Amino acid sequence: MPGTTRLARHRIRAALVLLIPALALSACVSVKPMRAAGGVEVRDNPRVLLMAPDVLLLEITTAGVPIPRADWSARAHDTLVEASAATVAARGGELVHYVRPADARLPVAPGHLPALRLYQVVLGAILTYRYKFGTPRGARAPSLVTKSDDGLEWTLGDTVAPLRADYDADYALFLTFRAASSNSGRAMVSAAAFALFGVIEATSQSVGLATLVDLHSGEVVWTNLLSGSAFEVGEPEEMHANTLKLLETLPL
Amino acid sequence: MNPVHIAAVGLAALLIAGCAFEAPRMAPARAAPQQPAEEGLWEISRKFEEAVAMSGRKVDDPALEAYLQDVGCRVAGPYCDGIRVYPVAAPDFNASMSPNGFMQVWTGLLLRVENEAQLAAVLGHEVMHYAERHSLERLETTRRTANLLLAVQFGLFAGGHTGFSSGPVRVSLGDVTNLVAGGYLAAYSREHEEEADREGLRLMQTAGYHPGAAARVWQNLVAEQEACKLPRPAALLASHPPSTERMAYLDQLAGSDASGANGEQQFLDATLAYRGRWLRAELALRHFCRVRVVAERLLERGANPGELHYYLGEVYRLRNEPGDLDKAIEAYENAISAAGAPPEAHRELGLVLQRANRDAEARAAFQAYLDRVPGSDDAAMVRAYLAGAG
Repeated sequence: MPGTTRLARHRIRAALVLLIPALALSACVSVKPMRAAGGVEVRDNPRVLLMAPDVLLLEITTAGVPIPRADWSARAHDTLVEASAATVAARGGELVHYVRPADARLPVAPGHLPALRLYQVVLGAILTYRYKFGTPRGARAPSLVTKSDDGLEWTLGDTVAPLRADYDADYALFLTFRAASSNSGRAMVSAAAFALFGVIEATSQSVGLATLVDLHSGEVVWTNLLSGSAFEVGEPEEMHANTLKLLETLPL
Repeated sequence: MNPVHIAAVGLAALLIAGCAFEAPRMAPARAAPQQPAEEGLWEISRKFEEAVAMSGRKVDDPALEAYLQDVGCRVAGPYCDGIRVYPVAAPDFNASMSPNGFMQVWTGLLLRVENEAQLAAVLGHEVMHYAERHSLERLETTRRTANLLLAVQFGLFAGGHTGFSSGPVRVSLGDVTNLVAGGYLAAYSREHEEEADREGLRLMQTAGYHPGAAARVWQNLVAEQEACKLPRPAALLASHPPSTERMAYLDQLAGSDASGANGEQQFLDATLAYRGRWLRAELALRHFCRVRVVAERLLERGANPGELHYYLGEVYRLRNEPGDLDKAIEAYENAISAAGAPPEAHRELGLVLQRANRDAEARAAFQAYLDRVPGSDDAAMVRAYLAGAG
């Protein structure tokens, strides 16, 4: 800023610091839904199998060390499940829960392993080629010559048959949620860093991913990616609202 | 660096040294997280364990898994109920323990240990990480160190001490204090490793294994590192003590105690069927020198020499440096004349003989392969080689 004194610059920064809490309070969350390129076959009164949600929340300490918070994660998990059940019920469907086998060494029945292993691979491809994970800002995103650039063209094929048979379900819903939130000490450090150096640091980061797989065809029929940089990740109300947002475009 | 800077960095180093967090050893009957940070670590570990258990990386062989779990339990003693040992298909010498008792043993490690006692030494080391709650100690120590570092750096900044000039170079005091903290945390990690080594040796000794086996693990690894000139981490920031140091203190700790079992035959019974697959996995990464060193060492032990000569042949055939063709031919011929060679030794011998323009011998080798596995997937291709050889 030419002609601006050092004192004036500090005052401007101080004013901006005051804006930080206001920015943090206004939840800034975006979603990016995608549907199967060939369309989605919607069934009446669908039974939706909710696979074990993968939820992990971290607390960023004053000095910036991420600490996993099992209590936050458990609370977020429960909220995610409740909000999912409410969403499916509101569409005339029924949510059924995947039951983990008694053997602690394997979290799924051996017959379901092929579908779940394939799902992990397919999810990786969707994140890379559709959501452009891993592509640096400004860089050319990778593409697959075997697929068009729009819509989802992935299937788990016949591997889903055991899941459909064992749960008499029409769809499988996969949910993943990751979030990190600064503690109050870190928020103060961020404010001080901004005032002193002009460095802006987000006080929280959240990513949610939902995927719906048709258990009759094996097709991945819908995905949605939610990302936000400012909401209270430990609060159930916020989690509930964001789950509803994540599932808003669920094609049921 | 002026006296104020030296005093500040020195004071920071002293304060950082006081950041170490010590957790009491886990009580076997209370194998559960005891505080919020530990609950979080266990939660992450549980996810990691499930991911590995579901992945194709886990070796899907209940017998091998049961064997590793059995050895792990014998070593772990009262901690047995809390640990789960998984064989993971990955080259290189490695094993790791998660805070919740989930232990991974890489197949590259199983390839390199020579008997059950050596395996027990490694498993004992990992069990001690779990029992001593080292992950929690590292997390808490990192948190304390980072907090202190932040305070020191803000203090230096507030006092106007951001750095100093050394000739044309401007040195940041923030970087200096970061280096001090990084060095401290690495040294702290090395302390944990040495503690796990020493206490792990006691565990395997109590379980009835020969204590000298622990040093032998590192002796073999040092020999491999030196023969293949493998890079080593910078000493200051290394998370583990140097292998030579580990070998020395474990050797000293074992002393001249010749008691205890080696369990070589038990180890071979459980793992020999996999050895070729594990050597192949190392070859896929073009670890030619390392496979050669490991195979030559295992040849001295005597089990299935034909298989080991075959993989030595593979090293030379695939490396394909000057002189390797003759070495490959010799290795395959040694394989065929020894016990335990796979039928592929004949096929590969045919290929290298063909490359050496020894067509008649190549034809004989290809024919020998077809005689042994006439219905193999590549029989048609080998017949084509046979037709083309001369």
